[in-house]
Amino acid sequence: MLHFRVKNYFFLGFIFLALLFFHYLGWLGAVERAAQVLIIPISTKITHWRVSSQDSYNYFFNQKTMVAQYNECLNKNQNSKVVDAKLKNLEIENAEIRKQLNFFHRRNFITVAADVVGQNADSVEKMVIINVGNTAGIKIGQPVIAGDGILVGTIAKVEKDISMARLINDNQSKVAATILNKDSSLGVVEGGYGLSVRMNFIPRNENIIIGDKIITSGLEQAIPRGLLIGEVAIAENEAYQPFQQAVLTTATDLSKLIIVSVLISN
Amino acid sequence: MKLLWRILALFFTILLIISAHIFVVNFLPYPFSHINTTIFLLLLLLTIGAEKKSIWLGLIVSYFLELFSGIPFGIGMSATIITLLAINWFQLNILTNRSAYMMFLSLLLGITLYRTVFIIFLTVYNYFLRQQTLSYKEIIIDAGWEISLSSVVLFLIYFVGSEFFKRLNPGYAKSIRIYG
Repeated sequence: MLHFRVKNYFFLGFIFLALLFFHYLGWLGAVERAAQVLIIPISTKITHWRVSSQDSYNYFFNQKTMVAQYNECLNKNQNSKVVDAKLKNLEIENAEIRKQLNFFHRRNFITVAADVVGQNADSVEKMVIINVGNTAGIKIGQPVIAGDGILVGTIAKVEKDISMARLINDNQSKVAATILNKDSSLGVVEGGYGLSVRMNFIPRNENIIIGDKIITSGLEQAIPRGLLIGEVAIAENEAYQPFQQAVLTTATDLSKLIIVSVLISN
Repeated sequence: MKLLWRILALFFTILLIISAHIFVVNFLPYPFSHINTTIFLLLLLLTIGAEKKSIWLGLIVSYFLELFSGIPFGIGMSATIITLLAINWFQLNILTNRSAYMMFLSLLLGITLYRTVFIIFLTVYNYFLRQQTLSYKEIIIDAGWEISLSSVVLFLIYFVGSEFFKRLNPGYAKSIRIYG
């Protein structure tokens, strides 16, 4: 049996405090970077597997489709499959980068492109890990963009070579937004409702129609106006509430991010 | 030479636990991505191995996992250590039986304690340093999935594993032959 003596408790507490202290002083930077260099390739590989196989989860629930797909797979040549997969991946990346470049040229933004290398190790917050850090000019609060100017989150934590982006569906995410309706309604887009995102604090007398586009309002210093967030899926205007709210459909699937850009200056 | 093997074994155990955790978080669909592989494996090692190094292993693994988390540094690490020490005390003094049901209860208690300590520290941090509040509704739903799924999976692994190893034990096979 494992009997911990008093001196062991003290030693454990001492090592814990030393780790904490040295981390904040940056004395363990070399060890931490070595760990990141070792683990990030594993995390990247797993993330890419997930994104490429995410649509295939339903195979496990449907035997017929699974058998049909399996037979189809057997008929294909192994090498051509590998080449095909690589080509497809490059095509997706190319289209994504072209979209982002086109958007940035139009708006004169200075951006840093990044790969999504994993998700937050803890399930409390919805964040993704990207492979650029403060050496690339990344700072806390900068917006993270996907596709043709779609806001997916903001930077929440920065280290030397990696950063954590808080997704807009995270329970601590709050973004000032405006609806593209005739009133240009202002509100705050908030996460923390499971998979959905809501826009709160919309004045009750303003009309919202399902399908209205929602963009960033530009009222926050780091986030420029005009980044697409999503569109209204449900509008809720309750008589007993001081404000109305809208449930949004995000403009991109936040679980399938591969390449993003961080707006470091506008 | 023995020391080298020990260091290598420790290194690979740490890498294996972290990789398993990252795999579950990144690859599995919701709600299975909420299975807390780290606590689950550490508690399994603590129960089966019953060695001091399980707690030190917990400290090192949680330290490295903190590097891949957006939570303020130290919260996950302190929650892990408190949980391992508390469960160790429980297993020494209260849950002394090592049946699969007791393992289920240990993990249920362990992950509940881990998540509770974690949320308390995070709330205190957010309240005093960020002036923000957490969305407790979603956190409680996620914690519910985490606690129930992790406990059930560990129970199944421990139950199947203990049955399997019991049957391979020569003493058990001999007793069946003698007593039917």
